[in-house]
Amino acid sequence: MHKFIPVFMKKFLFGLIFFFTSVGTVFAQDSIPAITKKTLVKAPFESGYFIDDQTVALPPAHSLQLIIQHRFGTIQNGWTDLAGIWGVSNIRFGLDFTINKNVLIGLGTTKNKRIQDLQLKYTFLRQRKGGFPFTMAVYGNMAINCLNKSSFGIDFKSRDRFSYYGELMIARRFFKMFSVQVGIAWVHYNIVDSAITKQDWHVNSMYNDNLQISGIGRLKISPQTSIIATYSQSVLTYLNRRPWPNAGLGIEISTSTHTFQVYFAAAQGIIPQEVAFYNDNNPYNGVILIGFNITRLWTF
Amino acid sequence: MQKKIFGGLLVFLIGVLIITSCAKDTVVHAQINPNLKISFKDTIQPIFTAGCTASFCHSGTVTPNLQTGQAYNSLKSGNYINTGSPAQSIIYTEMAPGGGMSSHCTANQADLVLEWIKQGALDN
Repeated sequence: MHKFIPVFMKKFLFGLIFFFTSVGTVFAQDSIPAITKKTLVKAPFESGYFIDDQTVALPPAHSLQLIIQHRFGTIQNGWTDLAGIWGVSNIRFGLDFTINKNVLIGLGTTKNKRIQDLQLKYTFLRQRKGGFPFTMAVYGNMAINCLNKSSFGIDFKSRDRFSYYGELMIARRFFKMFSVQVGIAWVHYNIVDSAITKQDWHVNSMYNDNLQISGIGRLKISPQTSIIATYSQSVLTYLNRRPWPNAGLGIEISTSTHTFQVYFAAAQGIIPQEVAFYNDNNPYNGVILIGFNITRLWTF
Repeated sequence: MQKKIFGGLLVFLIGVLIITSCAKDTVVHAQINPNLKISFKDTIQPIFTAGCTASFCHSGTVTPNLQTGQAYNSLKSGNYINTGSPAQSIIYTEMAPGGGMSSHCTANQADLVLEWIKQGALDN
């Protein structure tokens, strides 16, 4: 059964992405005169980064974006480690570049597990006044775990370092102050800790694939300030307790070249496949942490 | 036209890269002789001391406190050990491959901790 599910998920997700990207082509071919008359709605989000999620938003064409993402330790120890600020933290440092107004390519490095990632985002349909009601994008990344090979078990192969994440995102700016996005993602790790014997010796029983659904929302409370919220949930669960869903709530302050987000969220993994696969923090039990994202944009 | 060809080629190459590098492997664990009695003091505590407290993380500030003399009580009182289902013990899932603390130990060290829990997680 478990072998069937990932194959089905992959086919389903690839089919979904193909369908929606094809819709863009069909719209473009059949109704060019109509579309050119309808104006684009402003992007539903200020930044492509949104707590632990991605959004459909892209910086202007030929922009270089610096991103710093930081997650402190969990808050439940209180004053002992100043709500996690003195605790064990995780950080990602990345650079993105928009090849054109629709395509972004990026690189990043993350402290935990020494993860290096390559990411690609393609916004293929945009919301228009009186026209298409959504902005849609696909996001994918490939990550390399650069830990010592002794961390992978005794039969290590180089390919075991790789993991992948692919997401289809659908967003709508309902009115000037309020935007929502939903997403469905396929997550794959080349190696997982799994039951390898019938004696129930190492039972984590993780599968290599998972499916994640997510929803994010933004409510502007001033021209530069917004309340932001996110929730994501992995669909397959394992015999052990992971992965818990991720929930986040915070504030975003943005200008034309900067975005600053500070928030409470559960996951410490930063890159999306880590959030989907290895979130140890259960937000329902109050295991959350303080995090922030900072982006800086240069347009050429 | 050239841009479209270049874009198509890029997507194709990325697709090939993903498909050829995709695999479904599982961690192969070192088989530990179940007759080998694992001592907390001689085997487990040195793992914690080298990987967890030497960097001043689990040495009083961050829970659990894994310093010598404190570690056993911290693990027990903080529910990091599940002797009923050892592989679900938080201390193991954190140290095992893919776990949040896997950067600070080897898979073999995680296996030793698991085996110690399977043997009853004794303060021996």
